[in-house]
Amino acid sequence: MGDVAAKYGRSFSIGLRGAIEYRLNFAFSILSAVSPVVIQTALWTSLYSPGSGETLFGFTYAQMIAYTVVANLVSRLVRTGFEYELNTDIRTGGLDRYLVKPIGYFGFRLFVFLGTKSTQTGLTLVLLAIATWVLNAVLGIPVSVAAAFAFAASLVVAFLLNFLIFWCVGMAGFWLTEIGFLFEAARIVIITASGGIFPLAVFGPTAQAALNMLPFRFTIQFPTELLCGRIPTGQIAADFALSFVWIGVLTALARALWSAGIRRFAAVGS
Amino acid sequence: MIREIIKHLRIYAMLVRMNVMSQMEYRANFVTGMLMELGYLVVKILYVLVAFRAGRRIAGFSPDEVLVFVGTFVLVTGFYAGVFMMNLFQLSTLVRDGSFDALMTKPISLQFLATFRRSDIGIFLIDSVAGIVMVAIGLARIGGSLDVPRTMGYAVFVASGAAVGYALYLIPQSLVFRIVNTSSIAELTDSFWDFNNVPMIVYGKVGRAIGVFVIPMFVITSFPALFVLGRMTVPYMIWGLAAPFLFLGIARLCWRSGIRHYTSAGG
Repeated sequence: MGDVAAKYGRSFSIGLRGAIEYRLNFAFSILSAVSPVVIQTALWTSLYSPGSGETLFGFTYAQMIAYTVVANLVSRLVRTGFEYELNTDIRTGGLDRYLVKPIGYFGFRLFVFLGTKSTQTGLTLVLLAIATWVLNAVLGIPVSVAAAFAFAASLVVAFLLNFLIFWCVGMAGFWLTEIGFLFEAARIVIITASGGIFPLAVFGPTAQAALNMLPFRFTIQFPTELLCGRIPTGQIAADFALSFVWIGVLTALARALWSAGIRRFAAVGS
Repeated sequence: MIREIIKHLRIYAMLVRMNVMSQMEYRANFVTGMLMELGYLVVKILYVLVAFRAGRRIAGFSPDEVLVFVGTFVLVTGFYAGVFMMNLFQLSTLVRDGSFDALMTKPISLQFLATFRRSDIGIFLIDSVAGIVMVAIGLARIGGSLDVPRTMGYAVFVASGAAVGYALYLIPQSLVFRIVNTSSIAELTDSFWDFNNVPMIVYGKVGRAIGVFVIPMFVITSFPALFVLGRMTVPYMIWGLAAPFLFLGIARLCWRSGIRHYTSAGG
């Protein structure tokens, strides 16, 4: 048991050190979140009638701006990138180095990912704290302690789900030799379906109901709405339960894809 | 001068042909590249969806007029993503691995070769066709007439926007000869492109003044849309025609100044 903890603890620290090494890169990626926030804030400001207290897509003006700011930060935070390394390992045959080591490749990648996210989460949480303070002061959006705790729990779920989703996408590397821009195409679709660009309500009630049942919402919209206090207390437990179901389903799918893929793996070039 | 232009146009046609042949060799990459661009297209269309679903005017523009703005943005993005963006963002790699040396030995303009070497016909076609269709639908829905002078004027302002876009993105990338790794600058400046996803009128007076005259992002796509909608003022029209010359000149100066700092990494 101690050995297992040490192995995955070491994997976690690899991710942590990598994130510290490339902290400036992450800082720039956070900075590039400013553009969509400015664009969308300008758009919403021109759509809402000033001081009317009206709602659009079920959001008041203040709620919409809060959603825009928080969702953009969360989408930067949960963003993956390991799928490219996974693909390189498959394509170049480097994966065989891990197959002979006494550590599961899935667990290794998962803990490296969590290690990477640990420092980024620290920086993002500071920015979120500043953002919520400003939103509260300027727009009167309060954030309760309970909402902050629920948000923290939902972030863990979001990390796990996003990891599993992109692990399954990354498994395409076993079947396709030229992945090209497939990951980027998948990322855009997944962010859109996660409510990372606009709230899912803009798609209309039918599409929103369908998207609410899928796992993507739990990676961006769910944490964002929890922090903004938009989810009724009675609904929170049911939403968490559904996200756990998706974690189970995607874990099973990830294992099945890995089993099928590894049988095709030819360790070319190693 | 004319002979030089014809020579470079001929070379550009050859480069495009070579790029198409190379893309056909790696078809899965070609297809996934188009899928990626379709994904970006969906994101741009989301802004139109919001305007239509909200069912109200955005800063005085109807949802159909917003469709014309976003359609123009998509059309010019065809030039940005399909013609020059990939070349500008790859400059850093060329300088780092020393392959820039090989380009310097060619008997044609170095700036031309380095910034127009590669192109992606798939991305260009998706964006330009989708953009033209969106503009046509938007204009048809508002009952706007599209006579020859208006079409020609629109084409001139689209070309002017593409030229300003090229210049604006070349200026920060010319830093590559001083600081070598400009990938984070590339990511940051790339995010500015999306400011054109909504009509420039939504940004308020100060934002508009900066976006038109200081960093003329709005000249790129808002100006052609304003012209075709018949909402362009005379000062904007003059600025829209002058800006490409001014900013191409500045970009040329930055490039030449940058080249003087180039030291070969591979030699």
